[in-house]
Amino acid sequence: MSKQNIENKKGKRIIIVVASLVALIGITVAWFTVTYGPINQLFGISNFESRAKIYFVGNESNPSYDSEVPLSTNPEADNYIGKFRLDIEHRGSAQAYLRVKLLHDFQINDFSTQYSAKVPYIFASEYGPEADGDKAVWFDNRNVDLSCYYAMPIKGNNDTYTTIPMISGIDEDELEADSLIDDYGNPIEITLVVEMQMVQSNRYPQLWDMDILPWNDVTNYAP
Amino acid sequence: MMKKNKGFKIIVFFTMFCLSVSYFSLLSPTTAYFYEQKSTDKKVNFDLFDVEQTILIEDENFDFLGSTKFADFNEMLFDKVVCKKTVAVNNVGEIPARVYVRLSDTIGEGLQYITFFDDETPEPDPAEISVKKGALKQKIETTLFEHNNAFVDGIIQENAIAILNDYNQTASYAVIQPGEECEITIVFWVEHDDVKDALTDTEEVATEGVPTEEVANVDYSTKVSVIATQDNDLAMS
Repeated sequence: MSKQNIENKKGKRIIIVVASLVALIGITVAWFTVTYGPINQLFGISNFESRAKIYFVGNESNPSYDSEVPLSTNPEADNYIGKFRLDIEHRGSAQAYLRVKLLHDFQINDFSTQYSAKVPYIFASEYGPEADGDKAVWFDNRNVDLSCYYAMPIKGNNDTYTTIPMISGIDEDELEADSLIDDYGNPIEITLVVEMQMVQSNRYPQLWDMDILPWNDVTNYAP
Repeated sequence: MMKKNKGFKIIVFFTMFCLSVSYFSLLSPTTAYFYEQKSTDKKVNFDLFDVEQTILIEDENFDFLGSTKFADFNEMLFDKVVCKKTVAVNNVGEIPARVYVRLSDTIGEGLQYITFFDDETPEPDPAEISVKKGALKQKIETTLFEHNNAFVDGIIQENAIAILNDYNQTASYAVIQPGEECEITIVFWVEHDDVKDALTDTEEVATEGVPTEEVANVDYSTKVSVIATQDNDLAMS
């Protein structure tokens, strides 16, 4: 083999090695990317629903879920207003504020009227004058908007109802039931309509048109 | 014949060499960095970076307290219904790393997110009783306005979502220097307009004469990845 041939072969090998090395660098040089994950994350959102459970003392095993219920001012009647009890049941994992309006429709001396004023119910738990902030009690705002508010956001689960007792009795002295009779001496019959509203806890300003919830509004405590 | 073969081989090798060199010259400066290392130090030196993180918990479940409207500048209580997840990231490598968050395989409409790479993602004030816009909502509005000045009061949701997605894909990242760490906050929420039909489309289910309505639910499943690359726009393109 001539000297020139040997040199040519050497040169060829050098070219091959350099070219291969450069190509190898080209293949292996790339954007370095380090990825952690993916980590699967699960989310859910639900709505909510509520219902009024109405029953009378002595007949607790037979509740009604009708939004309308007849009440009597006759203390001997099974549906005497003093025996009336009301629980609110709710479901759903979204968080909500709840308010209840109690409308009393009655007829006296052939005149019908709807009376929404403050019947002296006793609340199962009531927002006291010394309370402050959210509390798991009822705030009586009937003087302002005829509604009672549950003074904290509620949140349940999607499967079972959570019960919030609301009406646990009536102030008999304030009621003066024996005076609630017509001209013929008959106790008057009242139809109670229970209206419930639940709103997402972040949407009450829009849906209830208020900038501050009633139990946080100091003007509600003005003498 | 041998001369022809020799010539052919030389042409092939020369072509290969030119292509390889061209490959380098057309690459961005970061890749040229490696070439420069090679030529300066007369050796190949690939500096690696590695980013440790406190990873999220697989299949962790979160129930939103409600839906909201991030494009509504009058939506005051947005902060109260979001989900915040925090990931701590530490660059233990030797070169700066650009860190991104990516979501994939999101099932169901309505789930949105935004990522922040500072320690200034505000917490809602539990003592706040009046209705006023939360600090997180303000931060989101400011951030998106700085990204695209079309994000202003009155913007329609479709355009707002487009700006949000563009921000998440192109502008939402942090550069972490070697030895430094960063806290990433991912804020999730559900858009009200995308779920209101599903959540109000309930029917009454009779339970022995007791009126009961279905509780409607919308579920989401998304995969979260934290990605670290060289500090270059092309790295994630």
